[in-house]
Amino acid sequence: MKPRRIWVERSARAFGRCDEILARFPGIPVTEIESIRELPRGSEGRFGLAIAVKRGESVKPFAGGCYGDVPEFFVAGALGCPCDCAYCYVQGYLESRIPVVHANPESILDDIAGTIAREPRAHIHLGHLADGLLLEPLAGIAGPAVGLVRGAPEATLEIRTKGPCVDVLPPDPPPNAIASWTFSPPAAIARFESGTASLAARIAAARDAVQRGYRIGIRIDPIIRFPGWRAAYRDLASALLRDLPRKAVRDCVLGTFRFPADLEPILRARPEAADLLGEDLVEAPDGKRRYFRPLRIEMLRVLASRLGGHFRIWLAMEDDAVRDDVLGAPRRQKGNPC
Amino acid sequence: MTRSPLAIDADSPAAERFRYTRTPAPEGLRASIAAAGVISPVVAVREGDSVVLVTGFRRVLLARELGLPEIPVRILDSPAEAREAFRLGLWENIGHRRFHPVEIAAILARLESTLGACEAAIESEWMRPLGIPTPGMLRLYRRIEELDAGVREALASEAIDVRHAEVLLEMAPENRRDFFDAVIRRGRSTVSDARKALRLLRDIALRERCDVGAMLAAMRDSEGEGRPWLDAWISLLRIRAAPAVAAAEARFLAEVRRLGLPGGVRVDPPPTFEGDEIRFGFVARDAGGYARIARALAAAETIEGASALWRILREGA
Repeated sequence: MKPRRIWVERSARAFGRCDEILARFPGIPVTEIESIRELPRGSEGRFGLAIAVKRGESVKPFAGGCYGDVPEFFVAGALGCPCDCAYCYVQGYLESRIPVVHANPESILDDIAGTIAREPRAHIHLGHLADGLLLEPLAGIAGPAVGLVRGAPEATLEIRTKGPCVDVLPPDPPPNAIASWTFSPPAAIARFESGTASLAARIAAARDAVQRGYRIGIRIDPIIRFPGWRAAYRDLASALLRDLPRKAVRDCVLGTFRFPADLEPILRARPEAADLLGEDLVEAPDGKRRYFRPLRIEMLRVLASRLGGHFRIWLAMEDDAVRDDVLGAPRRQKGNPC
Repeated sequence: MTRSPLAIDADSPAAERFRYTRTPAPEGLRASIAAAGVISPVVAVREGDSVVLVTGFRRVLLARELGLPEIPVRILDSPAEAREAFRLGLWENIGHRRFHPVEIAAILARLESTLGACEAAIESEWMRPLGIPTPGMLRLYRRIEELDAGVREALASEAIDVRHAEVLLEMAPENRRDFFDAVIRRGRSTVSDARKALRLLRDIALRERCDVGAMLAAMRDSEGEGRPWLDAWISLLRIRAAPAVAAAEARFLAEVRRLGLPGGVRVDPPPTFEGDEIRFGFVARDAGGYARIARALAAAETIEGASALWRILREGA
């Protein structure tokens, strides 16, 4: 990425990494600020970059996990993203759209190490509030984090991305460091995932990751019910089965489009709103709006029926009833892969 | 000093800087002025050849109406004194009056424009005394002046709730009047129904790529009024906004009827069909009624037929 302007928290100047990041972008105007709270708002912000100091806890419990009784966490490291996915929940979390990286990533890495020490079975998601790899050259978290799980065989580090490039990932990782991709049909990428890599580029990157020694995760989430969705997702499943080395796939997570109520005004204001929201949506008991249950089951079955025979399938943010309906009761075991 | 109420400027744009109420004075004040005249002096400021009213609008207007030749007036000479008098007058009113939403909106606007109060100062100093519970509500009150006169009149007479205004402000300005006339006034909607109707209209607009205004026009042109009329419209809108949900609900009801259970039995799907818990409930008035219900629930055909209900939860209609 090449930002048009960089904002720097004054306190970040004290860290050598701040200068290293700035040195990558000679000639780009720099504005000093006291806090990232002062960052300008508005969607154009994604063409900027902010360098801040990480304060407070960086690893937080992940309420939306799918691995049963495995404790899941997400890393609140880099924030925001240079891409502009229409459905992205981060739009509702951050007032500014300017991606933020930190001048003190060692603080974040300390928190990851501390979490693993407290919860040896932790599944740590990197890529929750920002793409796990797109900002990595500046964020400096994913690479060192891979080293942290090398000595913690029960823990899992999952680096999730839509990116086309894995050069920043260290080679020969331990088996519990997973690189996962959000895969979407080309029609969905064109409609809803502006600025992201094509499906072919993501598949190629996943293959590169396998070459570097990584096990990979297939993440088809969100599945969106846009016109022509069924054929599009069938084709996606076929492409993944054809082009990914199956033995290197650790598992596959499926999730249908859902969003918290406070994101709705933002989604409605987007040009993609009709394709995104023009279906039967209901307010689920967890407070999120999501497709009507029979529609979700139908959508999940389209993919689970094709991929389930080849990969371990998990469903994101679905209750036992839906898991039973999609995966079949005998295949579901809480806390274990089906 | 005394002066004719007709010689005090209470109507020009200059006076508007200090005026925040158009509510008719209470009967007690009218009776008091009719019997004893204006007792406490109103306050005005000298601006060129004019004497512009700062506090006491209701008294001046009543005095004019009652034909009083003169009233006591304290005339200030500087804008700074006028602003301070306005501020004190406002505090005095806060102490003994309850303002309606349109007055509060006007006060907030005057605090900014006349006293130069910033957002933070309004929130910390004035919000609570004006009876505004939260910063979110403060933002709502600040937008009330965007609504047209008819809506503001309904707010001023407290015929509608300030939360109705919130719903109206969520929609495009060109649709507010029709929504107010059809859903809020004619349908006598609660705030919750108004919100529901707005969501449904928006969902349909997205789904059918049509205009909210056209749907409101159809409501406007239909016969009827009151809650039954609005409830019927909301039912129709629900079917258009979420046809799969509506069809599944209808099918569920049809399957429940097909079970032929006795009258006292209720069968409810889980809310929005999430989860697998179908609620069966019944009321029996005597042992005979209980026996009839128990036999019906335990009948083989009921048990077999009930499986269709769970299938609808999973598969819809």
